[in-house]
This record gives sequence, structure tokens and C-alpha cells, in this order.
Amino acid sequence: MSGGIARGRLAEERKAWRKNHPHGFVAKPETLQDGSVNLMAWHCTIPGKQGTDWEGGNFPITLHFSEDYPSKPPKCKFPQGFFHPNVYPSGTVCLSILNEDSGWRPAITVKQILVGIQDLLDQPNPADPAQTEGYHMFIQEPVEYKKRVRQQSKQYPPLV
Amino acid sequence: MDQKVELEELEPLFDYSRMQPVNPVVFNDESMDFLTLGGKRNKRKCGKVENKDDECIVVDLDGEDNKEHTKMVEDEEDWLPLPPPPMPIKSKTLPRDSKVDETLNELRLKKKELTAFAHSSKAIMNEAIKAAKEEIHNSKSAAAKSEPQEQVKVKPQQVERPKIIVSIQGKDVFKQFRVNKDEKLDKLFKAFAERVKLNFESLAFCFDGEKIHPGATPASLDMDDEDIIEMLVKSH
Repeated sequence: MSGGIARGRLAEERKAWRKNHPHGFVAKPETLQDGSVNLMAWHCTIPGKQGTDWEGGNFPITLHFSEDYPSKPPKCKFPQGFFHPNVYPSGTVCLSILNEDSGWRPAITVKQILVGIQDLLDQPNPADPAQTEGYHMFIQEPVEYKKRVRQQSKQYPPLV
Repeated sequence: MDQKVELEELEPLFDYSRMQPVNPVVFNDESMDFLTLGGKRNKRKCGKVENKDDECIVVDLDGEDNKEHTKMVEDEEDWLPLPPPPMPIKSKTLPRDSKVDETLNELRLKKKELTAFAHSSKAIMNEAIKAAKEEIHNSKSAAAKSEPQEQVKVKPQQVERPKIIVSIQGKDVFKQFRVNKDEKLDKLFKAFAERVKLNFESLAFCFDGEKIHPGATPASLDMDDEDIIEMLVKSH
């Protein structure tokens, strides 16, 4: 059963994460109401990079793993309506390493996924737009775009 | 390097040191300075030999004719056959007192006694240290034995408190600490703040994306060995 493989790998990922992860990031499997842990969905936080318009923001993202993981990548979702050229209106991130048919490899770790998305925040890929608002503003109104990004960063303040 | 090696190899065959003055001497027919230099060399040698008790005895025997010997050297105008270890320093004192041998022997005996004494005192000290260590150990174990007895009423099942390694990670720091699992983390955080020279009040500590409340312990947070606690500097 492939589900065993997915869970085994995710348990390993979690174990590794607890001992070593980049500063400011959070990644933990969700805890259900009855107190049990669901390894197939992780609640994560990506901090905006320092020195960018994303600095100061702590962006929540959920990683949904399928039973086919790690053959197939997880679906990574920001909150609905998240402002970014490469984020679908649903919040799903569009990134090559998260595309089964393009850059995904089973060896890519959760850490690499989250750091990859952090990179994407400040370096949108205009060749692969996922939402019109963010894309158009990024292309046509850079000043407005910057303002909007900073505003959004304030919407996701740090924990303390 | 090569020269040195060569010298070292030749040494066992011939002892050139006797035949060659230590300081390069300019040979000059007009002056016989090098002879006095040879004498000086003798003295130096003696200084070295003096340290060894056994050789001193040998030296003392022919010490009296040392002066004659130097004369002889002068006569011969040859510094090759210098006596092996003459003792001019000793020879100065020798002629005054014919019983120098005895006094020297006495001195040597005293020296031996003293060294023996030093050795024995060392041994005594070591024994004392050992005894003290044992005492400490015993008292410790006794305390350990007595402790559970006293604490039986308070914590019956925790004779040994489980320990855990906690990592604290900040922007530019990563440190690990070994703490009791049931110990409040506040204490660790305060010590950590001091160590990294930051104001404790300006720091916040999070575990798995949640702020650690005062009074939390590694056990209450369900932490494992080497789990990371994130240190954040408060933005306000």
C-alpha cells in the first residue's frame, strides 16, 4: 500500500524538521479535534525574507499530501485570495518544483518546498501567472504592486 | 636540514665537539687567545656536568690537577686532547678544604633526603586528595540515598529526573542545552538571554509555531531530544 510509504516518509520528514529547520519557519502536521495527528496535512508558516517587501509577514500555508506522495508533490495552499502573481485565486501555489510533470522529484523535502516558496514570494515568475490581479499589477504598476505586497505582509504579523 | 642530518650521522663516530672550539676562532700567530677560549669552554662544559651527581664524583678526583692540565694545554699549544669533564669551579673550592668530598657527599645525601621527602610528601598529598574525593563521593551517594527517602512523600516515582536536550534557534544563534524535562523553561530562557546578551523581556520563545507560556516545561510541550525552540525578538 502506497499510503504506508507516504506516511512513513512524512513521519521521517517531521522528525527531521523538529531537529533542524530554518529560522522562522513552522511546519507541523495538523492535529484533529480528537487529538490525533493527521500526517497528510501540514500547517506551515513561511516568513517573508528580510530586506524585501515581504519582510515582517508570516504567511500561513497548508501542505496537502496525497497517498501517492512522494511520487507526487503535495498541494501547497495559501489562504484564499492571497496576493501573488503565481498563486491561484484558491490560494494554491504554482511553482515548477511542485509540478508533478515538471520540477518535482520525490527527494525534495518539506524544508526545500517551504524555502522554495519563500524564494518565489519576492521573485514571481511572470511567465507563469496564476491570478490576474497580482500578475497585472506586477507587470503594469510596480509601485502599486510593492505597496500592495507591504500591506499584505502587515496582514500576517509575527506571533509576537 | 641536510647539514644537520650529516652532523647527526657523524656524531656517533667522532666527537668533533672536543676538537673544535664552539666559537669560531681566528687563528693568529701573534696572539694565543684561542687558548683562553678553550679554557672558557671547559668551564661551560663543567656547568653542564655539575648537574649530574655521579659524574661529579669522578671529576672531584682529578679536579686538583685541573689547573696543571690547563697549563699543559698551553704548553702543548694544542687544544685537541682536552680532558673530558674538568671542573674548574669545583677545583677553586677544592684546594681550600681537603674534606670537600665529605661535605659534598653530605650535601648529596641531604639532597637525596630532600628529594625523597618531596616524593613522599607528593604521595601523601595524592593520598589525601584521593581520600577527599572518596569522602565527597561517599557523601554524595549518601545524599543521593537519603534524598529519595526524604522526597518519597513528594515525588515517589521520580528518583532520577529525566533530562532532555533542547535547541534554541534565533536569527543568528543556535545553542543546545541539557535540562530537566520537568523544569520550567523560563529559567533556561533567562540564562539564554544573558548568554546572548539580549534583554529577556524583548524576547519571545515559540515551539512549533506557538508561543511558549510561562511555566511550560519540555514535558508539558511534549518535546523530544534536540527539538528546536525558536527565539524571536519582539517587534514592538
